[in-house]
Amino acid sequence: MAAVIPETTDGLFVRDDDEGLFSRDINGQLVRLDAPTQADYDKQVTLQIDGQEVTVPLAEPLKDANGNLVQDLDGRTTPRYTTIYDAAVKLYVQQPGDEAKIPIPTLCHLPHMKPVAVCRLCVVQIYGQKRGKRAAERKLLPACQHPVKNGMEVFTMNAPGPDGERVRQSVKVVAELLAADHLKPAPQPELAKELAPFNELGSATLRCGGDAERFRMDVLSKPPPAPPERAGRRPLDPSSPTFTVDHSACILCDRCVRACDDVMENHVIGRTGKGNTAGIGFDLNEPMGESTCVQCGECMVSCPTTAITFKPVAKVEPRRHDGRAEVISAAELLRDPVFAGVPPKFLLWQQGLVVRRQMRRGQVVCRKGDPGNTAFIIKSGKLEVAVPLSHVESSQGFLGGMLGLGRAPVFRAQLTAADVIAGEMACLSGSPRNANLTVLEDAEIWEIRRNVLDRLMRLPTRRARFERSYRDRSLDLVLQGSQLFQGFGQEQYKQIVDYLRGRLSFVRVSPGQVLFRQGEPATDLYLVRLGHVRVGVQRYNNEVRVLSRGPGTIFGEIGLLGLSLSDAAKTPEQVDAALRTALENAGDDLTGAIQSGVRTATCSALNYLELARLGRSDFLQMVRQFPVLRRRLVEQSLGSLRSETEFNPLMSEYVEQGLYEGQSILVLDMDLCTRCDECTKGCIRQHGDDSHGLPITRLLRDGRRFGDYLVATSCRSCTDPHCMSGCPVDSIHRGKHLQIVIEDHCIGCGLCASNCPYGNIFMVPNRRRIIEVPDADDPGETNMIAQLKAATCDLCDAEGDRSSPKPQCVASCPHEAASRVSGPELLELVTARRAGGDSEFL
Amino acid sequence: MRINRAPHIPWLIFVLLATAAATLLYCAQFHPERVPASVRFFGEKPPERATIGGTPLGLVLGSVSLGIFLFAAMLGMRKRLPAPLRIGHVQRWLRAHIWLTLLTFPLILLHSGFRFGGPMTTLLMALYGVVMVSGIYGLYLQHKVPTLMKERLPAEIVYEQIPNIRAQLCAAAERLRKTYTRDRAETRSRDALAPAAATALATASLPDVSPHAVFKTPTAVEKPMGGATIRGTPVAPAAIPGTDVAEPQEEIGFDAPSEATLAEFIDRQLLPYLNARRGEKFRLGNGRYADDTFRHLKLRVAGPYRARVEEMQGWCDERRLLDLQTRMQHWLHGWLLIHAPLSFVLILLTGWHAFVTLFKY
Repeated sequence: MAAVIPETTDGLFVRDDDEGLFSRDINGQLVRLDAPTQADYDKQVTLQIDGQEVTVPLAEPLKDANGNLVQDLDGRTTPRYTTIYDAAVKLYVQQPGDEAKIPIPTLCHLPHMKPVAVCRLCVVQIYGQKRGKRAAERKLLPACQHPVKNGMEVFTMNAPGPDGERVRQSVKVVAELLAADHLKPAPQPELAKELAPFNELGSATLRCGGDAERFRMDVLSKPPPAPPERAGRRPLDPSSPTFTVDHSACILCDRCVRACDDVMENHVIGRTGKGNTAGIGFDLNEPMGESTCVQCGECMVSCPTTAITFKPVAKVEPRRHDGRAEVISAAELLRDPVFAGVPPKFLLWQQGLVVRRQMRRGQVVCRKGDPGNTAFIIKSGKLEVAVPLSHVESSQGFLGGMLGLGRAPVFRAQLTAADVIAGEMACLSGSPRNANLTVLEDAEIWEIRRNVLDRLMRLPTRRARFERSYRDRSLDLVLQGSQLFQGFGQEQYKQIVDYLRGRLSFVRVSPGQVLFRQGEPATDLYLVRLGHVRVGVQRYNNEVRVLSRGPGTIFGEIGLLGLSLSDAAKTPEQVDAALRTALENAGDDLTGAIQSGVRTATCSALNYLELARLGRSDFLQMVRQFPVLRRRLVEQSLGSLRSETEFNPLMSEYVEQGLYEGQSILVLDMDLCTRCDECTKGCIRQHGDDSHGLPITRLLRDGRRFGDYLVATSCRSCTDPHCMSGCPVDSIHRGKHLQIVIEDHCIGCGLCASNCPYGNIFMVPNRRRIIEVPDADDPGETNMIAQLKAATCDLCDAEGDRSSPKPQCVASCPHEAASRVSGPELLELVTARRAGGDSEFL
Repeated sequence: MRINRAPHIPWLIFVLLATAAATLLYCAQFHPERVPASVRFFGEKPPERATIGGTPLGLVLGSVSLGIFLFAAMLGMRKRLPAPLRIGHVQRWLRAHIWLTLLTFPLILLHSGFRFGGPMTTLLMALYGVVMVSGIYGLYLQHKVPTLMKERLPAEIVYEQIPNIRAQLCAAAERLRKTYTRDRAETRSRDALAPAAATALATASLPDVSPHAVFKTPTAVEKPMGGATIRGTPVAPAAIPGTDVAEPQEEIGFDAPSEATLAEFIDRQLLPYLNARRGEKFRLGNGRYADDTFRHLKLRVAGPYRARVEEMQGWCDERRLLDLQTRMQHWLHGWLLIHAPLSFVLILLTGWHAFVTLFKY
C-alpha cells in the first residue's frame, strides 16, 4: 500500500480519494467541502445510542484495507469522521467476541473496508438539534457511514418504542426482500450443510425476525429475459478449479469488489449489467475460471452469502515440531473469543491452519534464528522470552574471558495468556525469530499460520493490541540490532537504550517511497530494522554513487551533525572536538548549537522498510550525553563522505538487480562454466517427480550477468520475501535454512510467481492433483486437468533434515563454477576480481 | 574448467611423485646400473625378459593403469547415480579423472618398456594416444572457450533454445515480407489517387514488426556484461511470431520502389540466410559484409524504411551470435564425441589385452 501524503492547507488535509464523499457541480467544481481536520481528533463528541451515552472523538485516523494506518513519513495520519457504527463498537465491544452485541446488523460493511452503505441493514433513527429543538431525521440513515455529532440520539433496532419499531420494520423488510431472492444453499451439496449456519444473510434475517419465504418469487433462479451478450448476471459459474460462483445468491453488497480492488489490489471483479440483470463480473464478465482472477479467495471469504463458495482444497498438513500437536477444528475456533470476527468461510476453507500444542515445562517453542512462519496464541501456562544481547560486551571478568566462560547478557521477559500472542514479529515480517521462547509452566499454545494472523490483524480490537506490542518490541530490536550500539559495555548500553526508548518513533515505508532528497535540511536520524534503503548521491545532475543499506544500519547522521563534503579531509578528532565545544557551550536548547546541515544523498526505500526515527533535538542531546557514540557517528560520517568521492560502477547494477536482498543466490562463474547444464540436470535428478508428478527443474541456466558471474534464474531466498506476501492459503514459507518452501496445499493461484520480481517461481501443472473443470467449448462436458502448483528452489532440503543445505545445483557442477552466495558476498567477489584480487591458484 | 587453481595443486604433486616413484622402480628393476646402489631394491642384475609388461612390476604398472581407466570411465556414471549412491564430490571425481589419467601416461610407457610391441599392443597404444590427445585437447578447450564465450557472447542463451530463437527470427522476417507483397503494392499505387483511402489502407496494413513491438526473445535484451569486453555487434531485438498484440505503428509514407527493394532483399538474402541450417557461408553471415550490405540497402530505400533495414540488420546480428554460440558450444563439447566412445573401446581392448597376456601366454 503506497502511503498517501496529504496536501496541507492551513491545517486541513484533503486527500484525493476523499473527493468521492463530496458533490461536484456540472463544471466539476466542488460544491461542498466537509473534510475532517487533524484538530478533530481532539474534539470529543457525546451521543446516545439506545439511551446509553458514549463519548468518541469527532475524527479517527484513516486506515487502509488491511487495517494499517494511512500516514506520511512524518507520522501524520489522515482523519476521517467517526461514524455511528464506530461509536456503537466503542460502546458494546469491550473484549474480543463482543461484536455480536452491537445492535446494528450489517451485511455490506466490514471493519477493514471502506463503508459503502448499500445493504441498508444498518439503518438507525437519529435525533439531532434543529433550531435549538430536538428533531428527528426524516429518513433512517446508515450507521456505517453517517458521522457522529454532539448531542445526537441514535435508536437502533433494539430500542423500545416507536423509533425502534420503525427501524425494526425497515430492517426486517430489507432483510426479507434480500433473503427472498438470494438466500440459497451452497451449490455443492456436501458444503451446503456446513456453510448454512454462516450465511450472514440468513443470520441477519433471523436476527431481524424476518421470514425469508414472505416475498419469495424465485425470479432470479430463472435466467433473465434474453440478456445481451457479455452483459448482466451470469448463471451458476463452476469454471474455477477452486471456487463456485452462484450469481443468483449475490446481494450486490460489493464486499467482493472491495476485497479484490482494495484488499488484494487485483482489480478483477466489478459490477456489470443493469436492473434485474445487475451482478458482479470478472474482467469483462468472463467466467471466473477464464478471467484473470488469481484465485486468491479474498472475495469468497468476504462474501456474506453463498454467492461465492469454495471447492475442497488439499489438506493443510501441520508442521513438524516438538510436543503434541492437534489440528483445531473450525467449529472450535469459531467459538473462541480470539477468533471472533474471523470469517467462518476462511476457517472452513482451510482446515489445519491452527494447531494446538500441549507443551511441558522446559520445552522450547522456538529458537532465535528459526524461520518465523507462525505465531503462538498463549491459551494457558507461562513462557519465557530470552533475547541474547550478543553485541553487548559481557562482564565475565578476566578469567572468565580467558577461559571463554562468559556468556552474552540475555534480556528476559515472561509471557502469559494475558499477553495473548508471541512470535508475531517474525511471522508478520517474514524474518527469522529474534528470541528464544521456552515454556516455564506447562502451557497450551495455539500455533497459527501467517494468513490467520493476517486475518486477525484486520480486526480492529486484535490489531490494536498486536500492533502496540509489535511496535514496542520492534523498537527494542532496533536498538539491539543496530551497528551503532555494538560493543558497548552493559551499563553504558542500558543508559543509551533508556535514553532512546521513549524518543524513537516507529515508521513503515513502502517500496519506492523517498525518505528525503539530497539538499533538503536534515531533521531526523533513521535506524533500519527491516528492509533496504537506496542511497543515491548526485553530482552535476548525474547519480555518481549508489549504496544499499540493510537492517542494523543507520542513515541521516551526516546532515544532523552539520557535516558536508568539505569536512571529508578533516580528522575525526578535529570534528569531534568542534562538536563537543559547540554542544557544551550551548544551553538547554541544542537546536542552535550546530548549524543544521543538509542531506548529502537521496534515500528511498528499496523494499518494505521498518525504521526507527530520532528527531534532531533528541539526536543532539544524545551526542552530547554520550561522547563515545558521538565519536562513532563522526567516524562513520567522515567515512561515508570520503567514500562518496569514489565511484563504484558495480553498485548501481548491484542495486538495480536486487542482489542486495539475496541470501542464497545461485551464481555461475562464466570463466569456469562449460555450459554442460549439469546444475539443471542435478536439480531435476534430486527432486524427481515427488512434488509435481513429473521431473521439473527449479532453476534455469539463464539470467543477467553481474561481473563475470551469471545470476541464474533460481530462488535467492530474499531477506524480504516478496513471494510470501499475500499467499491466500499460506502454502509458501521459509524453511529451516531460511529458504523458500512450497507446501502441497498450494492452489496454484500464481500470486507468489507474480510477486517475485526475479521470475524465480515457476507455475507447473501438478499431475498429482487432477481436477475437473467445465469445458468452455462444450457446455455440460468437463475436462480433467492438472492443477498448477508453484515450484521454486528449496535448497534441496524442504523438510529441514540437514544441518546445512546442500543444493544439488552446486554439488553437481564438476567444474566448480556454481556456487550459492549472498548478495554482499557476490559484490565482494566481483569487486575483488575487478581489482585483480582473484588470481589463479587461490 | 580451470586446472590452474588451488584444488589441483595436491593432484599435480601426487602425479609428479607417483611418476618419479614408478620411474625409480622401473630403473631399479630393469636398469639397476643407472641408479644409486641404495635404491637397487631388486638386486644388481636385471631379469631376463621377453616383455617388460609381463614382469611383476610391469604387471603392476599395467594393472594400475587399467584400474585408472576403469575409474575414469565411472565419472559419467557417477553423475547419474541417485543421491544415496553418490560417493564424493563430483568436483573431486573430475579432478581425479584428469590427473590420474595423466598419470597413466608414464605408467603405460614404463609398462610397455618404451616399445610398441605386436599389432595388438600397437593398436592399443595408438588408441590410447588418441584418447589422451582428445582428452587433453578437451581440457584445453574447456579452459579457454568459456572465457571466450563470456566475452564474445553478451547475450548468450541456453543452447537448447537456439532453434526456437532461430525460428522466431525467420517468422519475424516472413511476417515482414508478407507486408511487402506485390498485390498490396499494386493496390496502394492504385489507391494513391485517393489519398484518404490510401492512408487508411497504409495504416491498416503497415508492417507489424517494429522496434516498439513485443520483441523480447531471451537474447533480445542485451544482458549487461559487467565489465567483460563486448566484441559482438550490439543486438537488435527479434520478434515473437504469432503475437497479436496491437502495437502503435509509426506513420511512414508509402514508397513502392523501396518496398520492392526490401521485398527482393528479404527473398534473396535475408530469408535464405535466416532459414539456413548453417549461416556462415552466406554473405550476411559475415559481419563486415553484412554491414556493407545493409549500408547499401539503406541508401536504396526511402527514409522511413531505414528503420526496417536496421531491424533486419539486428536480426542478422542476432543470428550471427547464435551461430557463433553454436560453434563455440560444439568446440566445447564436440571433442567428447571422440573421447568418450574411444575410451570405452580402449577399456575393452585393454581388458582383452590383459586377458590374453595373462591366460594365453
